[in-house]
Amino acid sequence: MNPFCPPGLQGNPHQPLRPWDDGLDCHTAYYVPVDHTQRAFEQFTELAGDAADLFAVGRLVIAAGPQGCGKTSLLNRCVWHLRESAASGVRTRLLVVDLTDECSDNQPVPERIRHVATMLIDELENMPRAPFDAAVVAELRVRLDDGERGPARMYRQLSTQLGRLGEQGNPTAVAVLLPASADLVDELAQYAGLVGPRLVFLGESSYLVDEADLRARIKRVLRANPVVLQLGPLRKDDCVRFTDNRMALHDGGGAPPLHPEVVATLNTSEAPFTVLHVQKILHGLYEFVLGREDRPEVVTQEHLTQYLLESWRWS
Amino acid sequence: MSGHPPAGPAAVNPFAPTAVAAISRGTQRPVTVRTAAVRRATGVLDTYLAACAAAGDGVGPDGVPDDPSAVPPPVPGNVVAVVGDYGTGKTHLADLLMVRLREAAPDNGHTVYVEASRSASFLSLYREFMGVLRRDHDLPARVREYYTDVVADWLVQTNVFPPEIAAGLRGGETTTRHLADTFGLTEASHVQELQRRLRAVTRSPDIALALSLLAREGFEADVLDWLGGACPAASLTGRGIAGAIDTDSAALEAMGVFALLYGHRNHRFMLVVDEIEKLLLDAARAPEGLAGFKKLLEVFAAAGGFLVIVGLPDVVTMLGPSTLDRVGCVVTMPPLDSVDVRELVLESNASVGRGRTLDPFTPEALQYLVQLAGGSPRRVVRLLHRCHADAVQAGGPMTPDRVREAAPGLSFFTRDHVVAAVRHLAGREGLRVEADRRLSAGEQTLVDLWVPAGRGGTGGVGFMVTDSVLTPTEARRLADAGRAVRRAAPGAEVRLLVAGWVSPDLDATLTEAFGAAPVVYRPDRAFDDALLPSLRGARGARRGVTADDGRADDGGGADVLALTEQVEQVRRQQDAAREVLERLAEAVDRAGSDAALRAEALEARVTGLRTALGAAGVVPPEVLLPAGLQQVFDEVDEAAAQVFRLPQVFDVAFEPGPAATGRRSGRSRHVVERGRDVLAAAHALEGLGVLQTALTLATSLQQAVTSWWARHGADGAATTAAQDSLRALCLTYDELFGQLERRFTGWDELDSWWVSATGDARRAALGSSSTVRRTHDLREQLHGLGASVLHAGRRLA
Repeated sequence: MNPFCPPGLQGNPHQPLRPWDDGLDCHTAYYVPVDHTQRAFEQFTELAGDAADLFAVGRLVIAAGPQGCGKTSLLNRCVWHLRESAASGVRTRLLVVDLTDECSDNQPVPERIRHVATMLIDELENMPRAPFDAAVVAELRVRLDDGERGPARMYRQLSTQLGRLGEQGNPTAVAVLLPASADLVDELAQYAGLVGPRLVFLGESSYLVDEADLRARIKRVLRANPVVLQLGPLRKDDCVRFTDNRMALHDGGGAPPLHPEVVATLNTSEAPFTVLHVQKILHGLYEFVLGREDRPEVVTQEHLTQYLLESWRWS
Repeated sequence: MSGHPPAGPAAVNPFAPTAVAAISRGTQRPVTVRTAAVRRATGVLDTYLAACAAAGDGVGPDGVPDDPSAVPPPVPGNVVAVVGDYGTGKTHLADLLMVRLREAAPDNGHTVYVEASRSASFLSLYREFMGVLRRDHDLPARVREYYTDVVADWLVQTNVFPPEIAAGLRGGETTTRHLADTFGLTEASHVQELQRRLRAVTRSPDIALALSLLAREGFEADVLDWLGGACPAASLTGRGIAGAIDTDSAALEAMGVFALLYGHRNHRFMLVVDEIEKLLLDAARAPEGLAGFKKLLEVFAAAGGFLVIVGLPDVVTMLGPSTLDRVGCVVTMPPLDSVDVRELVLESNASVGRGRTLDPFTPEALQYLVQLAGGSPRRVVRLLHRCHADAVQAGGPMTPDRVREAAPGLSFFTRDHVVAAVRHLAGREGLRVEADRRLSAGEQTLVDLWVPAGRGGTGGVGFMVTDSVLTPTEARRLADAGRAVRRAAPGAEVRLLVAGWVSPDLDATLTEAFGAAPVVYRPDRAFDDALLPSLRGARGARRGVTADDGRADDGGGADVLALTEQVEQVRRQQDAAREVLERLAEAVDRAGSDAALRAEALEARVTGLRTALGAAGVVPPEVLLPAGLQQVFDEVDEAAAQVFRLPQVFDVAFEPGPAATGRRSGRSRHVVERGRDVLAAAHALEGLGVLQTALTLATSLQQAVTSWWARHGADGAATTAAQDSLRALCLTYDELFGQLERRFTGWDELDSWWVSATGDARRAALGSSSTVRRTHDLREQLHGLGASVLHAGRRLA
């Protein structure tokens, strides 16, 4: 068993952690306090409280930081926390809709926003225990089809309909995990304007590092300012914490231990390194080592070098 | 001689029929005579290529860059200006340089050739440049290579990855995508680094952003469209690119960045801009134009690019000293001499497998041919082609005589050139020149040009002008004529001037008959020096003349003389007009550095020109321009009539205002106020003066062109000499108008002033926007007049 493959992700071990997903609660143990993720998560939990205030006005939550620093994992953790808080505190059902893979980078922003809205309606219609009847779904689609203003009208209607569910004794909120906006800061700014009660958007940007920049782009006064969770590259000893966590969780899994010099090598990179780099390199290294007939007692620097030299060529 | 042309290499004509340089795309070197100019230009290029080779790609064999934190600095580039008249082989040399670069760097040499003649501005030049880059599908590859370096630098910097990986990535053994999949390399952070590096070389964040998008998948078409001048697609506007590249400064900025991309690592990049003078004329009109061009030169050199600008000799003047400082080398194309042409024939024959032979030309034939062509490479090659074809057809060696038979009408210098040169020289010395002067009643005493000196009509200098002298018969005829003239006018000096070539064995005969060696015309100081002693002698003799105008008073043939005199009068007037134009152009050149030159002064000069032309009666009244040319001037007149009538403008000042009730005092006050307002408006008087002067200038150009047409007519207008002459007139106009346009900074205010000055009633009648539009149109008409005339003149050809 590869220590760098969290459970439930065998098909794609480098996918972000998803503790909110069915059967993946165990992922909560795989969060490691590296590259400011812990601080960012605490920032979110403090803001969310028991989720009542958050649902009252809705919110846009943005994770910003270099690609591979764990933004999506952080947002998934935030959603997990929000769902737990909502269930235990304000007894609200949180519907999580994951649309992170829905758009491509080169699509125009209006097209992306409309596409996300369409997919959201589809998801709400088709999910188990669908919250709305066909008439409400049809009404949402009609609103969405109303030209340029369609998405805004649809989200407003969605917010209203969620309110009605509450009035009917089924308090419900929706958290939408948005496609990564990459460098589309304007798109995030537009989502800030689409927020409504019981509606939480969670987006991310690999390019946005300046929170003031985003706020400057949001021209009008919003009821609730977006929450920006800033992440960064790995700091000193983050690499040690990360590998310690994975090796500890793996304890007894049969993989040879990692020699400290390997971790030291990764820990002393002079160029910005992210948790994804470490995750991919070490996962690959263990695949390489575990696949050998002469499986070593310890995974050493020599193995690392050998693995890197045997893997880099494209064929 | 046989009527059956030979087959095999001998039948292959190694000389191009049109002799217009074609831009090649391969690496086969065109046959080139290694003149001093060619050696100099290729020497500069070779130095650049050697520096590139020595620098390598800035990356050691282990994949470690010299400075891993940065892109290796490019080898210093260079800017070479190739200048020369038409047909002197400038484009051919540029082509040779491009071929040489591609030959030296077959895998990483990039050459782009653009013609400024197709571009009215740096912006349109840039679009053409982009068109070439897009056609070659090369730009995204260059950006990706730059991106690859960013990633490779990062790999080295981590200390995690063995250096072989960075080296392998640079060497194409792996891809950034594969490394991202395998080791988690993240595109976004590297693209941001790429953007940061690009921003270091461009002030335009949009260009840096757009180029960095080329490193990502899915943006290529949108980015290339935008770089080509299109409005940004939604995928770009969503990232903050709001507008198109639609200004000269943005275009220059982009070209500079491309130079950096193409000069990156071990690439060699050459941009050739041909016919640059056309662009510089426009650039000189805008204050930022030349500054932008200067910036382009700087950026190119700094980015490691090799820029070749090709143009007429005027380019050197147009650039000015501060821009010339940024040109590493100015190569002036000289005329070919007989040694050059001999080498050309040897090389050309060798290139078609005939060996290094002069066959079918005799050495004398080549000497003659060079003279016929005036050393112009284009004419030389044209003549060689025709003579070679003739030799193949008829067989036998190509002698001077046969060259003349084979190529009638292809002589570069004609008798007209010689006559014009003598007139010019005499005019400079303050001497009058008469044409076709018969010195006595005898048939053989006619001289083509006569510069009288002293009383009695027989003192002076006579010039007999002839085409090439190739045969003893021709030499004898000329010698007889020379002797006859000297007998008829013992006090006169008679010189034989040759438009072409004199066979060396006939030289002595002619020298003996004329008392001085024949002078073969070439447009250089040697010709002037050969004639000046004779002319100055005549001037000295004329100082004693007081009342006598030098006219012959032999009584006989008075009618012929009178007619001759009239013809000569018209020619003199035309010459005078041309000289006035030339002087004016020189004056404006001088004034170019005089910031205090005011429009009034220029107007006075143009008015002087107009007066001079009018007084000279340059154009016979019956001469009409052909419809195409006339239309160009009619359009200017029409635009002027629509917009600008000075009296009309001042009429407004005397119109009763709305408050006028018929009481004299009220009306007077209104008129005075209105008039004062009109005159006090910013730039009003200066602007009026500039427009009037510009219209006067246009009229002068029309007269000069009419004169040109009268001189050449339908048959002669198509000749290269005539077209060159027309071009000179148009360039002079362009330069003059450019001075006017550049020095007056209140064009925009003038438009709005005009609207207000012409009053509400006229505005209502015309529509204010339409008036402004028409004012703008007039300026545009005047701005493009030189080019329009040239274009219409070319259509005649």
